[in-house]
Amino acid sequence: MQALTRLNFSIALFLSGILAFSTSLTFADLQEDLKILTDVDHRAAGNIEAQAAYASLVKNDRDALPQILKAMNGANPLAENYLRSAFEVIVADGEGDLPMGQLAAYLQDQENNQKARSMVFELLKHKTPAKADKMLDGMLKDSSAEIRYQAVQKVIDRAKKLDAGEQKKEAYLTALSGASEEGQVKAISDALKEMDVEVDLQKHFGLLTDWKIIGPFDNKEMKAFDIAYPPEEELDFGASYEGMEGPVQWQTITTDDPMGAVDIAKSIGPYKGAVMYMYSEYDSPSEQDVYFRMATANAWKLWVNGELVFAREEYHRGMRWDQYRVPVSLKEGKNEILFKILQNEQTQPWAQDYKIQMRVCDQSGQGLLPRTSYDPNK
Amino acid sequence: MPANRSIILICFASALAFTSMADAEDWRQFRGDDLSGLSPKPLPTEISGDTIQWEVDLPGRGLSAPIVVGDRVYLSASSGFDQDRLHLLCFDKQTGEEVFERQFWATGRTVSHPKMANATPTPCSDGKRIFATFSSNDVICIDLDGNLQWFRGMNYDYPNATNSLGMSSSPVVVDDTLIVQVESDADSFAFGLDVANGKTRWQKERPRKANWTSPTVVTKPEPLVLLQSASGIEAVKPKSGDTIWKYESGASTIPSSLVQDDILYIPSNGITAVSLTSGNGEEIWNVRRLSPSTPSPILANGMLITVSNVKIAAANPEDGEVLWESRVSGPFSASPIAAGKYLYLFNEKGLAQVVEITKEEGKVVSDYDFGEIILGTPAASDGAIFVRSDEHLWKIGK
Repeated sequence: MQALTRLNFSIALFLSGILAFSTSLTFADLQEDLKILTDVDHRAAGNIEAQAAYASLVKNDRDALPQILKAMNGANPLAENYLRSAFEVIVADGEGDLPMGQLAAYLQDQENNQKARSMVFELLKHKTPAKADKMLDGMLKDSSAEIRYQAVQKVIDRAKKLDAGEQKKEAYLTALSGASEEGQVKAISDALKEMDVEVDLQKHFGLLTDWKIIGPFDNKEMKAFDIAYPPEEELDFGASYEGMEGPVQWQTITTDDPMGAVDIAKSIGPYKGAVMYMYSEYDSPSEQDVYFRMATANAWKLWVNGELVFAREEYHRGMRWDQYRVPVSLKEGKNEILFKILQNEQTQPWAQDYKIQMRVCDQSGQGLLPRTSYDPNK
Repeated sequence: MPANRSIILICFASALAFTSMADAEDWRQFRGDDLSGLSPKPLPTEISGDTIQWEVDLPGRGLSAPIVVGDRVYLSASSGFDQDRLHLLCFDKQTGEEVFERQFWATGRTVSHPKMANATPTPCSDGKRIFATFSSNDVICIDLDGNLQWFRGMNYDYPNATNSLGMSSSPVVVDDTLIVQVESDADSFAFGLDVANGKTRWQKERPRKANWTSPTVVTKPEPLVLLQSASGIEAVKPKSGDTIWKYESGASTIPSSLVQDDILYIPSNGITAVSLTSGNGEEIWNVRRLSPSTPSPILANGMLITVSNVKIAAANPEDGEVLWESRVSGPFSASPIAAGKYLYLFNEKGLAQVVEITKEEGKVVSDYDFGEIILGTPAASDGAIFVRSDEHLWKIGK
């Protein structure tokens, strides 16, 4: 009898060894697949390997979902899509229960991938709508733009239903504290205006409103995109240069447009075939990665601290809020911003805009204010 | 059940499924398999609430057309306040039941004119895979069951290959190569991508000018892809990208060209007909009066038809002689499709118009107001029309 028990124990030990080996092998395979998928990169690099890894990954049970989410942290936008798709397929077709606790924990940690968190929130909304709706109450300042949008909308919807008075005003101010999407901010601002509360949209969005400007330099026949006029060589605000119509000096331009549009055509002159250079500063409270979001119907180049960060040669295809999003690394303290803005010679009424709207914000679109405002007159 | 009977039943079911697939009439890309916009089978000549066989809700906006492969309808859509969520949807053609939905995130710019959406280009298929492109220049390949095969971000690779008004060129697949035009005022390229893995077979610099047209295809004597732009037409070999000939008298950047019976009809100074048998793009005729607005031309019931904002014009395809012009209710973003002597127009306000076209006139014989903005070109398969708005996809049949 004892011998039999020993035998059973040995068999159990052997089987659990196989199980452990098989589990660790599965775990290793999963990690290998995730590694291959996170290695996909520009110009189809890793595509062939990714195809096989994806096919293998989607065969996993649902308990692999937290590992896929973890792999999304730091993944590039292409890899995010491979991982997202695998996640969806396993949620739909995989074996086992959804690891709801681990999914919720991933969502709660704001350091995790924002898009992946939003995807998890959508899943929770689908599975437990009441619980997800309640969660929104604590997500007004969430670092995911999509989640925050929903949280803000919930407060707006509640505010709309309230009778006029302090409660309504407070509700809209609460919504404003989390809002960054243009439509929502404008809706809140309009509602507050009716209650005699003015929202400083320039500050809310982090718009750059105070600049030095110099020009016009010649851009006839759109030839000046790659011509480096003196402001590209030196920043001497006391200097005078030969411009398109005679000597030009740096001057000040500011805007009182609530949405921060700096209108060169109206404030300086409706130049055609021209180049203007604009300069501003951003006093960053810390070293940080930000986005310069801007809108213009004109061609442009942007330098930050002397480094060309993006250039765009497109004229009059519309001017839309947050039309361009340029990632920029700021240093702590003063950061120098030089902007070259080019106008062509189109004569159509819709091709006369010569303006720029620029703001500094975080990855989710939340405006970031400088430590101190820039004074172009100093 | 005895094993052999099971096998027989499985074989029988497979045979049925195969027969069903084989019989199903595909519409695999913008304007159909041969890019003609013609349905081989008659379509309903009357559209009404009674002819709507099913309607499904859509999770996002789109100007893209549905495509049909086998017993399934595939469609793209985009959603989110930033239009950065990309949807690939698959529905059962008979019932409208959703087979699957896959979502992705845009890796490129999603900004566009408010009228457009990220899901503006129409997907295409080689019968084994679905290729979907978006205004953000994301190129997604899934198999027919929704499994991701590969993903390319052309704007992620080339950050200046974008258009602030949005991109709309629909891809075509020829010779195991996916042809994608990513053309703008800044960086401008055409790509030939290997359908199996998305790798670039070839990449061509293209005119730096915003371009919303879609490539078309010549099949004889050898397959050529015709890339349209403001400069004209460039005929290239699909697998190598080698240029075979060029038409350099300019072309529209919105409506796309039509190939029919060895003649290329180019929206160029009105319509210019070019011989495809001469080997050098020889012009046959040009008629300025046939200038289309956004919709691409179609050759139906022996006539070349162009659609402008409020009228359609019919011309003799041999010499361009204008036979008649007829007022219709516009404006239009969707290109027309046709079956026999009936032309199907969907205007931007959602009004469907069935126009009977004869040598003498074009007469609206039926109309139906869908009550929603319709900007996407319809598809046709097995005698039914598939058309979408931002909110719905409809099947219209007899």
